[in-house]
Amino acid sequence: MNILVPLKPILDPAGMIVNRKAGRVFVNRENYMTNPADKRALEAALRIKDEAGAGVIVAAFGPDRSADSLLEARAMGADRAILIDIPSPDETVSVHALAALCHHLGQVDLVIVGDSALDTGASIGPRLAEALDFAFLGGAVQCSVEGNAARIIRRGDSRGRPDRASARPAPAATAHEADLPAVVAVTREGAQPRYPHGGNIITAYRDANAIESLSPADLGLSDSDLQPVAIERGQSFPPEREFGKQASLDDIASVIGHR
Amino acid sequence: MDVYDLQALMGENIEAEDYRDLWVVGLAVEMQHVASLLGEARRMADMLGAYVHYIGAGDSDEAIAFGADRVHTLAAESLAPDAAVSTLATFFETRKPEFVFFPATDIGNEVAGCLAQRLKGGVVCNCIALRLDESAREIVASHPVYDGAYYLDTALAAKPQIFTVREGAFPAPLRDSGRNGETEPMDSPADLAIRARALGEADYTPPAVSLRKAARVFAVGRAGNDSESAAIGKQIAEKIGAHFAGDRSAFDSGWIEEDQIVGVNGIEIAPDVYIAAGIWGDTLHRAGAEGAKFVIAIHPDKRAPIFSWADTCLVGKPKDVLPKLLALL
Amino acid sequence: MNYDLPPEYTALRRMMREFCEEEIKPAAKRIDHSGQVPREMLQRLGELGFLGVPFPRQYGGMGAGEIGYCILMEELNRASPSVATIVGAHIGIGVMSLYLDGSKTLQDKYMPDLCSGKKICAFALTEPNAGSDAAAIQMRATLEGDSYFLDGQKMWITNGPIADVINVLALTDPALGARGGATVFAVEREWEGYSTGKPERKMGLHGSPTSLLNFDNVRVPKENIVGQLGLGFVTFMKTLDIGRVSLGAATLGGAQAALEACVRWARTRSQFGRQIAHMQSVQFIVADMAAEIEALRALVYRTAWLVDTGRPFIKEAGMCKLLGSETASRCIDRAVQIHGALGLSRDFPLERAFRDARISEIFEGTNEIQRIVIASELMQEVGVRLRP
Repeated sequence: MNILVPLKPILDPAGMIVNRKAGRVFVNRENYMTNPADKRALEAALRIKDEAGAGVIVAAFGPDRSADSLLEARAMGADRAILIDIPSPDETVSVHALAALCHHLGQVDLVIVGDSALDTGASIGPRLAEALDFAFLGGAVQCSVEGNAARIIRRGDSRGRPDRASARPAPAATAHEADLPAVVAVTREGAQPRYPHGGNIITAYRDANAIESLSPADLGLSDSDLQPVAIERGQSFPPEREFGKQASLDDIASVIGHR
Repeated sequence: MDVYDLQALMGENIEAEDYRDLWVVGLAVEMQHVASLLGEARRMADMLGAYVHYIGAGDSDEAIAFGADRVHTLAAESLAPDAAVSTLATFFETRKPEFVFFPATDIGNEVAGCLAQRLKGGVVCNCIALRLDESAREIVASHPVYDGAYYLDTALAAKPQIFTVREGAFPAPLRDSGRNGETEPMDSPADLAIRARALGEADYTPPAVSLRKAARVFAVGRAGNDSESAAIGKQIAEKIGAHFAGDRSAFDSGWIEEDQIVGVNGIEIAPDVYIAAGIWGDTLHRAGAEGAKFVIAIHPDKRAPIFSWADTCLVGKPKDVLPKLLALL
Repeated sequence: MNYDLPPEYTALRRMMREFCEEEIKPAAKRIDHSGQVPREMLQRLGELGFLGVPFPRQYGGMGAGEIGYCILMEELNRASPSVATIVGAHIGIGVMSLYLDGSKTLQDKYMPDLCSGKKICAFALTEPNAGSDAAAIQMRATLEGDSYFLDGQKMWITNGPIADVINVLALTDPALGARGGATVFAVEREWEGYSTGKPERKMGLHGSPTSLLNFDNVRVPKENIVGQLGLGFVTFMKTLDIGRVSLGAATLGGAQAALEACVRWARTRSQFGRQIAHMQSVQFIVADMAAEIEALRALVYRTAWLVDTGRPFIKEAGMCKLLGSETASRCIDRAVQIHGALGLSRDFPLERAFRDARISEIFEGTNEIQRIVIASELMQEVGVRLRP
């Protein structure tokens, strides 16, 4: 069984200061990290590998910034790492390229993705399932393979967010399954990613063949496949926080309920 | 009667390229959220000279009252994500929608994503604002990134332009019960292509979260509190799924343990919501708690420094306020 | 000239930083108050390869050299000097002496368990009457048949109460003294006649246990000689030379943590109607700290590079420890001053850092010894040999 996990490097928010008043994002330290939900997706794949045995393939778009995400994944236990030579694709192009990658690799039974990207909000899971004609299971905090089916657990309080009214007791978690092949989207509440053994980091980084590169041509992608749909028109900012606003007890109760 | 009927009557062919109208898809969401989408769609439709369609299982008269011209009622079996995708995709292949709005629930996001892929359109999820450029016939959507630290403004270069919209993004719409509209049932395709199977409740315990990483923290301090009201505070914390904590004075009073002290001299926290009842909020406490994204403060003294860094404030004694708050929650 | 850390080390640091921030730093206060590091934490460090950073993969180490080891010590000490000290004594002098001079049989026997954290190592040199004058040791090892019998006492031994394998220096030929007549033995804690004293009550490093070791006619098989008979003093001195580099790295982490605390506090704290960041008295202090720390960082990693590239490093290693321990003490002292009364509070990490830092000027060769080491290297360059 082969599991594909796409990884997206994102700008580490720890090095960022958002100034709402100036309407600007200041980047003090330009560090990149793997999108947190994607890392949980990788952990879910590695757990299936540990329990049932599977080949775990990670893929990221490049050429820049992606090497660390891919090599870290290799150190954590991914068997192959693929760098797709398309710089910062949008959701649509990502989906085209990842679907083409699955066809290129053949024999991909399960794709586990992070449910959304912290830096763009893109969520490729449903679209990728549609493009591959795979089943889709979203909102997973746990994922396993039972026979020929992917089975997930979804937290009761995660589905339907952000409409959660927390004063109510959280509904029970539910299990869902779908026959393979399938795409599963893992949330940031998925299992805590493992730390790699330090020696594996050194080995992965010193292995010149740790990352395989594929060009759009290798994947048979045409120019129209590489045409982005999402056009960034800039940034906007939440209103500045206003402190000291007086409220009634009812207001407070309702604010607590809605946050 | 809408444009499709008119064209049919006049013997015109609907152009393959002709994407039109605003479509609000309700699925199984509370009417209040859907109503705000309908209201916004109505406003935009009037600017564009287009119609508003509503697809959903809810009360069609309500949808019309909130701005829909035409309601396509969705059969109950088409409400599950897989079925909704099949049904909507089949339907939209002939009725090419220009703009589609979904409520930004997990199901809404899933169906919107699948639909965008199937219809070769574009999608932006979790929008908190939409701005229509009627001459370019495009919508620029603001959607939060980095947990809401700021918003990206995104436009879509493909049609249909699909958006999922967070609750509260638009003002509550006017309800006009005198509006007219039409209702027709929507056919479900023979094969709903349902692949995901629900297996019922699962045995799952979320991993324990430490105070340092808690999403909600309810903390007490000495001002206007006594041991009884501190205990009520603890109940409130349990009820709202928050970690119970306090400042140094609460520890000195024996209401909390040492590892529940919030502050630079205790545990530093950064929750989504921090509620402080009876906490003065000086530098030591503030430095350990001001990473909170939203702060609610209750304190008997209106000069308490905590009010200068709290988003929502109530001057009052916690021992009077907390029992009432517990009852309200 | 290239000052970029190779990417594998940057990645290693990222992982170590994350682990220390998430798993060690939140426990640092409890470790200090309870006086011990949970064994599970050491086990966890072992699982991730932290307890064998400079040693080869075949033994369960990371194969990350002295540079990797310095990164580890910097990050650990930034989070908890107690944990760093246990790990430093384990890797930097304990296992290191085995790795530098031990036979392959002995390395195969002990290193996998030591690198994986199943066993903890200690290095026993100091005695009640032999501190800076390490050659004055009195512990005896007498040959009888195939075994040596060890008698005597070691003192102030880091990891003493928890060590499973102890590398100990004893006189095999008292007539020759330490230089030529001393040998290193690897001793296991279960062996008869071996016992440890109660943990010492120290000013700092409360979580890092230190104790007496008693050797009461402990039988050690010949195979457990580390290195060559009679050359044990050389083995131990070589080990200490290299250990000073990582000690410097550890002090770097402590100083860095103090600077970070100051910068944050300068932003948080307001007096006289403005953030204290705007006060030059505070600015000058943090600027001095930052400059000294940067100089130390350059020295430490250059010296680690000298070690990894097989060049002479003894003089620089002495400088790492000397400059590092004094820089850290100075920075933490200034940080306490900036924080005012809060700096003295047991609830705040600086008080602990202040206590924990002082020992760095003393253990593994006092700073006076470091100055002698540096001076003798300097004098040797002009043909003057200083008497030990």
